[in-house]
Amino acid sequence: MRRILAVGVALVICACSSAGARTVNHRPPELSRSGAELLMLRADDVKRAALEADRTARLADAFRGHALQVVEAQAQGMESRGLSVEERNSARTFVSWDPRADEAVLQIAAQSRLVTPDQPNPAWTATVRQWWARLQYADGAWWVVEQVDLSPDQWRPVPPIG
Amino acid sequence: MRRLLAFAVGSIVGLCPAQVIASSSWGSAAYGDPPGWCTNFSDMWVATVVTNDPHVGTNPERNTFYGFHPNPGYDDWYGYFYGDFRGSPGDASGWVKLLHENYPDHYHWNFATNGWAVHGHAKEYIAYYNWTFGGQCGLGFYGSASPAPFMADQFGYPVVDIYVDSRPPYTPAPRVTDITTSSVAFTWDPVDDQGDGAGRDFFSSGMGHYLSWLTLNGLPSRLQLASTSGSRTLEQPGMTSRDTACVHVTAFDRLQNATSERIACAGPLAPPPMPDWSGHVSQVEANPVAPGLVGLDSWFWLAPTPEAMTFDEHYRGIDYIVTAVPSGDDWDFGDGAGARFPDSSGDGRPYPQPSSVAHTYQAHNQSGYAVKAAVQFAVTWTAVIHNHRVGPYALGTVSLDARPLRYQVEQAQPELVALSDRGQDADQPAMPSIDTATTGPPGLVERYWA
Repeated sequence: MRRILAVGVALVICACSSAGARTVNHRPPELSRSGAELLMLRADDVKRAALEADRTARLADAFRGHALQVVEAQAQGMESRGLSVEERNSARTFVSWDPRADEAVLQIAAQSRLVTPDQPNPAWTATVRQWWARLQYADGAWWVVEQVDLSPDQWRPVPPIG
Repeated sequence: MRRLLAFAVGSIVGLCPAQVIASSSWGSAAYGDPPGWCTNFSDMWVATVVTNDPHVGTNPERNTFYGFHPNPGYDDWYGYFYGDFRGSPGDASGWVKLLHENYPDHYHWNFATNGWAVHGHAKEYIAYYNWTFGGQCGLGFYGSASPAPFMADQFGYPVVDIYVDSRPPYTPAPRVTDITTSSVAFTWDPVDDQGDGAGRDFFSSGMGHYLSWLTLNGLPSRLQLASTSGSRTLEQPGMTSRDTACVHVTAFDRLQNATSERIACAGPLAPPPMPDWSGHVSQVEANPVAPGLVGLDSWFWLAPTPEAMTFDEHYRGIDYIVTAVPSGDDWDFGDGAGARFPDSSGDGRPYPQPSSVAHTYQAHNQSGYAVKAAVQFAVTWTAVIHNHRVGPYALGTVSLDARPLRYQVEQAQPELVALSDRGQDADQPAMPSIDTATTGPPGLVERYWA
């Protein structure tokens, strides 16, 4: 699945690159909703892997700027204390894309747990979060440059299922 | 000089810790930041946790109590909590000492440590106490009565906004929407999430989805299983009168809090069981009241007069209205004679009206004749499905026995009372008057003894 997402992101990035400007004076290529969704899913994969203390997680593949600094610092801080956040049975829904502001929101409903040295096998609990990110085009690709979990009063409506 | 004084005063005021009232620089703005709160040197990562766990097992700050001061070798860690975390909404804990930490060991704390549980919203501030010079945000000295700065955790998440919804949605009520002689359709009305907490700390994660499916004749196979955001209609076609279909519905909120499985069952339209009508029985009445007389007709009727009856039934998940309408009567006068009436005339009519049910006894009976009547009812059923009526259909007939009457009949002895037109007196004594209440008003009805 991750490979498929990676290929998708790569295709989007390539498409953006071919149409993209090589100077800062040109407008960046438009990012479609599906392209934004692929990038958000990929970024969430990478971030989640980093917080699970997966050393192979390459945050720089999806994050840049302040977002990269914060997520890297959080991942390192947790790793240094032997902490990791695990998720399973996640259901992710791309709930919002604002192409003017380049802002996207991904909802992640999952079972989560915080694994610590003193509690290596805690119970799973249900969690849900809406992850907001600002995307930015640079060097021929789109990146997550700002990100935060929204408080529930800022949650976006979820499209119906079924 | 004035500028220097103003600068000094401004510096002192600026460095003194002060409580921010009713607004927060960190996380949700619902509560002000606590007094003595100093964010210097902290990354000030703010986490938002939305969970169904009142003990907040995923609290990212619960294991970040690491020493910052190898010399003197310990830290005192404090927490300040707002919201519904110990049983009452709108609560504020003040600065609570959570633990004393000896360097280099580290410790953990979470709500259950204090016997607390979050419902709805709570906001957590974690700090270590810096008594040196009143901390990094103020001027002070060891033992100062003024609140020394509580230093926001430097490496963890010193502010955590916590939202807990541990209650399921309201329970859905599946029901039948349509039914034929070979199919049944079900649905349910949408429900809301109950949410958790109260007052300003109430939090609802919102409705998630419904899981619904059908089962047929109690078999475990889940038919038409689907997860949907809203209610839907499930129809089971091709049924026979022996089949029963059941719809199963469970509602989930966004945090997977689930209601119990709700079930509604129904089969295709079929006649419901015949109700027990025995509570609706009439009594046989007669005129004259016993004793009757041989050779003179007696009138009979049923009291109360049989009328149409309805009975509400719930059978195989369907509401039925069963109606019984009187259609005739069978009479047995106890002397071997009887009569059948195909309509309501067989109910007779109460005296003093002339009754269509009359009989003349030919012989006296001291112990009384057993006069019996059986009322025939034509019974129909109607199904009521979501305020829509289907029917009526014939269910059959019912015969209800009226309570019988023991009716004595006497032989009247004729006696000559007077020969007034000849001027002669009778040679027999006058017969005393018969004590009876069966006489009607004179002239109203032509009856004996009138």
